[in-house]
Amino acid sequence: MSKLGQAKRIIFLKTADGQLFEVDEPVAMEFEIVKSFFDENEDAADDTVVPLPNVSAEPLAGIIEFCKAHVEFRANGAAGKDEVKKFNAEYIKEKSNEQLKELILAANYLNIKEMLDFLTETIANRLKNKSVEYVRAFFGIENDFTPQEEEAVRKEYEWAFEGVDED
Amino acid sequence: MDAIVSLADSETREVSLGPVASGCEDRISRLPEDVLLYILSHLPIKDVLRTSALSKRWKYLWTSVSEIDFNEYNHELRLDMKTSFLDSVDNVLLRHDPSDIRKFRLELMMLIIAERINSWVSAAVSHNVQELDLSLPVKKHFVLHYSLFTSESISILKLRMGSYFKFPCLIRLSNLKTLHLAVTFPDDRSTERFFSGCPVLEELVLDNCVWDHNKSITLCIPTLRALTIYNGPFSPDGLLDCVIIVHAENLTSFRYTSCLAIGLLPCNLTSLESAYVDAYVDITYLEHTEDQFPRRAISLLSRIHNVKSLTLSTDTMECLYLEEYLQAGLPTFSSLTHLKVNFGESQYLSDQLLMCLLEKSPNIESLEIPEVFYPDSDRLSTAVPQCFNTRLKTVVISNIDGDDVGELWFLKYMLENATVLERVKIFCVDSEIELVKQEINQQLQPIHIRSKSCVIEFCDESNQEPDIFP
Repeated sequence: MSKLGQAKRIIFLKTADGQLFEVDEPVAMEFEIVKSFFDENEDAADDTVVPLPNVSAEPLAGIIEFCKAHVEFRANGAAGKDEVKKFNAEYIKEKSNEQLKELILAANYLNIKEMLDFLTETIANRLKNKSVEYVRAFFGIENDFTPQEEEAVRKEYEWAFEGVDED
Repeated sequence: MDAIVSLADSETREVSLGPVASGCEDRISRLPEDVLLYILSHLPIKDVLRTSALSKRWKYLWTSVSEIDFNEYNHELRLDMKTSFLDSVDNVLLRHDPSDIRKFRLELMMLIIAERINSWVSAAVSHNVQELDLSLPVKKHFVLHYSLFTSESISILKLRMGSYFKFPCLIRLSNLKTLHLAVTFPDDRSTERFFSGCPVLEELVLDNCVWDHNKSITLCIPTLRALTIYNGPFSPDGLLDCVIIVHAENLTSFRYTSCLAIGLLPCNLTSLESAYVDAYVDITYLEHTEDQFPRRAISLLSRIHNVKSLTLSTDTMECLYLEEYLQAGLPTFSSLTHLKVNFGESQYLSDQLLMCLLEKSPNIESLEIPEVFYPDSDRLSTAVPQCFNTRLKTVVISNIDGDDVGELWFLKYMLENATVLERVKIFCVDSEIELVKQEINQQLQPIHIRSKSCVIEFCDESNQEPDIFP
């Protein structure tokens, strides 16, 4: 860990597709998996490269953008304020469902609680009151029920299938 | 510093970190179960149940969902769907996997049999429920399942039941921190017994509770930090001959909205930081008991005299107008540094009331008057309150339009008399700021601003922080 008086430390992260990222220490420490690595290896050299075999470059860049902003928000005492909500809304606006899923997988692997919470809530909002068919398409789920089996399940929670949005 | 550099350029050394997920394509379509459950946790139960029809993998995924919220009102249930709805509650509670249920909320409009409700409650308790929120009509002799009252996991309990609050003999809610009750309390001793079984209670909300069967209750809740009493305008019937004494030496926040039906006497409030008092007069009973209302209001204020920040509603002010001997009755608020007073439509004697409050609050540093205030300049007292000379630094006034002589007179009075005033903040409609400025400048001439360092700010009303109190 960096000591007082030293230049701020950079953490090196390598993605599954071979890209190397240089990330400011406070941002990298948002990733629980990276943090616990350095906690367990206190004597790790400064130029240690942490491989992230389950994350590719695109989602990692998105995650760094998000965490960097949130580290700054916290430092400025803006956590929980409108500014943060505005950033989050803007951040998610242009993301496709595919990108969202990539981000979620990466955030889950890196174990970033705050981001995971935000992303899962965003996905939930996109799925609220949507039909079974819509949700299947969203997750890429193959329907392996027979028509009779599906009918039986729908019958069991009949009320829950009433009044859902048109696709 | 997030520049991407090519791997070939770096001479850094690599370490290994965790297993590699296999099959990149596959993992996209198959989010791990814990992530799926995380997503489900943000969805209403209706959406969660629908996921059982997605595929075989999803059929029972919901059985480990940890937040369960059945709200009949939200779902606008068709009449023929009620059975299906209730069967779902059965299913979700009784077929839940062994994992914990963090939260169970149930809001029903229909009356259902007690055994069924209690089978759900006991299931939730056996799954270590932390937050239990029940809002339902029940019959007169309904008793909630006994296991609820000895739960070690419940930390938030909200009960809204239109009936007597009945409970078993043994109450041991050893982890209960937040309690919201909207019930009819049983006899005094039983009520006291219930609260003595909540040894770590921090937040108590009594929402439209009925005290018809009570005379005198003493509650000792040393851990209590926030107390909210709320009574809507139509309950209970008139002034009750009932006194509730609450010992709460660690209480920091007190909110009171009530028609003063019961005599509430908080005691030993030595830690009190903020209080909101909205005590209104029920005009149906005014004729017979006119003097009772202000007397109860003053008695309540006397109990919270060492509060640091106090907000008084329009209704409270109107209630206090009724007291003939206000000056003698009001306590001295010796710790009060922030006072917010709302004057509504009725401006009768509002100036005298405000001056009276200021005289009784020698240490006020900031004063807020968020609603219209038209004092009668002739009646403003000539004796300048003590806080004007030593403490008053900030004054915030809203809804000023600049053309009322009374409001400007008060502004002038303050500017001329408050010796250490630092800031006067005036909120008005954005488009009228310039107009109000001019108007005030004209009307206030000539003026001698007593405090040399005083700054007058004009602000857009829409940027004003909204009142957080109901």
